[in-house]
Amino acid sequence: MRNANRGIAIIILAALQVLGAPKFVFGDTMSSSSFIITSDDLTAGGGKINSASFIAESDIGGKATGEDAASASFKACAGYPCTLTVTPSITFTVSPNSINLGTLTSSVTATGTTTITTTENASSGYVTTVVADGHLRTTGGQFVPDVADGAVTTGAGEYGIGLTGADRAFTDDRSVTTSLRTVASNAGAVTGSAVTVTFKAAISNTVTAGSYSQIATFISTGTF
Amino acid sequence: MNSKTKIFFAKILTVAVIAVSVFQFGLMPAMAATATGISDVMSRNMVSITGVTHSVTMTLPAGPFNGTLTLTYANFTAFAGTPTGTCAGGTITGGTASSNVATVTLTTCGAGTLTVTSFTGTNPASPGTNLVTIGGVAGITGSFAVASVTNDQVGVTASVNPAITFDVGAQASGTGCDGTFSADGGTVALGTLSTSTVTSSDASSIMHICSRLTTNAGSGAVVTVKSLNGNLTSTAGTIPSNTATPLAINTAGYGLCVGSAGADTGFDVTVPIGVLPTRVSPFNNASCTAAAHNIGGVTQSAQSIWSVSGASQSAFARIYVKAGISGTVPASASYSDTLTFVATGTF
Repeated sequence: MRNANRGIAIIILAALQVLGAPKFVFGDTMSSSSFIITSDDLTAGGGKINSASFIAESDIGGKATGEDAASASFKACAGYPCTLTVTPSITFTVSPNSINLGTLTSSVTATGTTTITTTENASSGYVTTVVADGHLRTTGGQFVPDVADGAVTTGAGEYGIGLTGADRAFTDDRSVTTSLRTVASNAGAVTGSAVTVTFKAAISNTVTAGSYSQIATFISTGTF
Repeated sequence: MNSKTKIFFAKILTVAVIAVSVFQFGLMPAMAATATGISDVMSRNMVSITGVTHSVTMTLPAGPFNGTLTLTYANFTAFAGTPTGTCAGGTITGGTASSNVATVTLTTCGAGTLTVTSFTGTNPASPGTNLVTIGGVAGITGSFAVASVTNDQVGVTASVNPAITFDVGAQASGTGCDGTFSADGGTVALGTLSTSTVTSSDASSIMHICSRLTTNAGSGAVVTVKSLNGNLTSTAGTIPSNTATPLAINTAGYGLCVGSAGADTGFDVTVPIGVLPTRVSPFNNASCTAAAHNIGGVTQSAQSIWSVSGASQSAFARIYVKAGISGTVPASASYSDTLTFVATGTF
């Protein structure tokens, strides 16, 4: 009798395990011209969890192969459990840090560039802004007017920036003022994304003689 | 089935239910109250900068959350201020900031945007990425990073050389002065003077003088006039130059005035905008036309005749030359004077 009971119990447990935990975990896909096996690993329990940036599968009883694979942007763990932690990171550089536009004349638009290079793994990407300490100006307060028509034009009194690079925020010429202006952004992780900022100055005959300067500050923020 | 058997199967069923529960739910990941969309807009990213402001924003899952929320910044120092903020459905109070930790207290904060502001700190001494960890009694977890860079600024410099150009000369009476004038020099022939009229530029085809100035002098420029003789001179005598408002008929006199009509002075419209010429006394009478003879006397010393107070492109002025005689002015065919105009910028 005791043996019979044990047998029934084992049957019940097995049935419950199969019926109550139908979350099979699938292994690798194998195929040929005549068949497809979507998984070569059939186990009980576990499941799939995911988000916009990752998918992870778990199972019970899966056999670890014992080797992990990884690169700079991913890590795959062989065997279970697998814990993958990605530490938030953001770096950026601004180079060069000084631009001399030289002696301005009404016949040439003077230009100079700096490059903003960003690397980050933020799930929602990054934004780089620029803010100035004022106009391109003299100590006496004379200044080259900010560009307002989308283009710094030779012979006109205009000053502003243009951008190049995949993550640039605009394609025309815009002013650099005491208000934050976005110059670069990306909605996801980037590695070494470079945006070149070209400072442009054009003068008319009524831009006052003197020495002009401006300090532009770049601020980069990741959203994780 | 006897009672022992029933008890046995009941135990088995209990164990089975527990096992199924473990299988079905036990492997589900623990759902911590993890914030998402976390960012900190700093006022500067440069290393070692002090007093850098922070503005943290994050999105909370379903709450409510109560208690402290801490933001621990690796590598930062000298936090100060009284952090405060906002959250959905609740309030944030009781902020402190010291060392590298900013702390606020949440009360019934719910799902949505949470902000923490009003604290400052000193940036890390080294460039790179810096981890910020969220913790505290409220149970909100998460982490993000902020950057520190060797130099986050670009200094832009440029120069504009001082410049000034000037044209002055006689122009036909039928042509007004404007910003295109460039015919320098010349002679204004007043013809035969008469006691019955005042002879003037722009009357009887007598030429006037045009002057045009372009400068980027910050303090502007002045145009002066200097008479060679201080009067109209001939071998027979002189016609004096005096300020007269007006120079009357049958009166010996000679002088200049800058036209008072709107079109007699002007400048090019530029960006930045230039400065309109200003007539200078005694050549600035309110009425100076071909028929209005309010003149200033010229001397052998330079006198300002018009000016601009700042940079201006093609600022111009029409200058009238006028003379009259009385019956006692000696006859001569060669009364003359030479006027020299000089433009001087103040940079």
